[in-house]
Amino acid sequence: MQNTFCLAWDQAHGAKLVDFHGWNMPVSYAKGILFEHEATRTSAGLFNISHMGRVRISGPQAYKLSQYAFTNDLSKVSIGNALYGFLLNKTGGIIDDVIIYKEANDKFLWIINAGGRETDVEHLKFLASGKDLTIDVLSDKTALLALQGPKADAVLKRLVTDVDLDKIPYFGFGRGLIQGKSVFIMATGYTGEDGYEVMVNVEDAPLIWDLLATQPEVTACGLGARDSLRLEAGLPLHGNDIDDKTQPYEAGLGWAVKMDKEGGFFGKEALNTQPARKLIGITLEGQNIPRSHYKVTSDGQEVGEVTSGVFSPTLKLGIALAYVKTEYKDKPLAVDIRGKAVPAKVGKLPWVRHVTKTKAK
Amino acid sequence: MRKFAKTHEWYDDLGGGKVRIGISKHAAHELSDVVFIELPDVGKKLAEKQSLCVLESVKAVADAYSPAGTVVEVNTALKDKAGLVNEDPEGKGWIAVVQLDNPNALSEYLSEEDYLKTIVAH
Repeated sequence: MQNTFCLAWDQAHGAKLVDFHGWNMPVSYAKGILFEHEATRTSAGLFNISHMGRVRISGPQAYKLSQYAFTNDLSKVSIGNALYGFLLNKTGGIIDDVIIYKEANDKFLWIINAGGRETDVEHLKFLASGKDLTIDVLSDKTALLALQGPKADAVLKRLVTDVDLDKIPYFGFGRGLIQGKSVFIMATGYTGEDGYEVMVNVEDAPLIWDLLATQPEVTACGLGARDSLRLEAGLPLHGNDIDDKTQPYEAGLGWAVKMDKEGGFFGKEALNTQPARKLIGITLEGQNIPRSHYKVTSDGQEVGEVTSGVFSPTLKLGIALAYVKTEYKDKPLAVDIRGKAVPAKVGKLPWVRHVTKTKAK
Repeated sequence: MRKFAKTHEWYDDLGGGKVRIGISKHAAHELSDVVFIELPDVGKKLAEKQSLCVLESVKAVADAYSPAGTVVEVNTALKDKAGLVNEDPEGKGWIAVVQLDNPNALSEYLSEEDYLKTIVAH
């Protein structure tokens, strides 16, 4: 298992460590998931997300590759802004969901999932064959931190210099300094809150983490709170809700696919825009919590499966993402919990979203 | 004397074949953030290896087991505050009292020392 820069700090702060895609990561610290979740919703949560991958593609054909490997349309993005989309395989399955940050016309930073560190780079190298560009894997040279929540902006403003955070829109980014160390600040996140993701040189990471973690508004959080926060925000997790056998339209993520973009994209021909199943958000009443792999039924017949489920600390009930056969998505549904059919309510996603920063173009 | 099960419950012998049941500190820590407990009804008869109750935490779900018997009391405080199981698993976070079918059933369970040896350090 691999460790991030943060292991010693984690161990000193009561972290419960688990293997996440080969990374030794905290599920939570001493005060637990509920405390950390609440802290992020009401103040600011700090997450070490250095297990995720970071790849910079630059050079004369960097745009061409990035645009072709990616389902969303980079031609619509100006320098200093980012886009969410997918890297597809030839059957239209989602190799990874990624965010691309346009640093220059010939320079793109890709933030990818931990599980994509090898597969994504391999796929990009395959598509890059013969092209004039450089793929620079930054994953081990840098660390990635997320500061999320209503007070994240105020905290970061206090610590950062040489950048005006008010000029960074939602899904925008900029460069600044924290205690003289160079930081790459992105107004993106995975919690449904305003906040930032900050990429730093790995040697500066312990200092910057300590500084952020000791701010009075800030609570360090593990992957448990990250999961409950993202699920409340209706955001899919690659490996659970989407994977290389799942296509964007069935996951309800067609908005990040631009079928008519110039030059197309890899995997496009295989995409089914009228899928046989759909990812939906459901809630259960009472003391019932849907979990991953629980069956979804309609009139006693199995019509789908839960892919992520959790107790929502904000709603105080069980919420889940589940795939159901398309023709059943408006029918009465239930989740089979230990043999009991618990009625499920189909909800509109997201359940919780407090983002107020202006939307990027 | 308090006994433990390999399935992470503790059993306190209250005399007369009655035992108070809860989950171990280790189990509570592993489960973390318990939010709901499906408590059994008083009078419920439990067969050997039948689940006494289901504990739902934010991220996971687990069963607690009792030796065969009849539920005679449940910790109603858990209905509103399931988190007691995390705060004080081997005290205020007790789950139920069961009248055992076999008053000597506890003799088959582990001492605290032996139970702790079964937990793999990590």
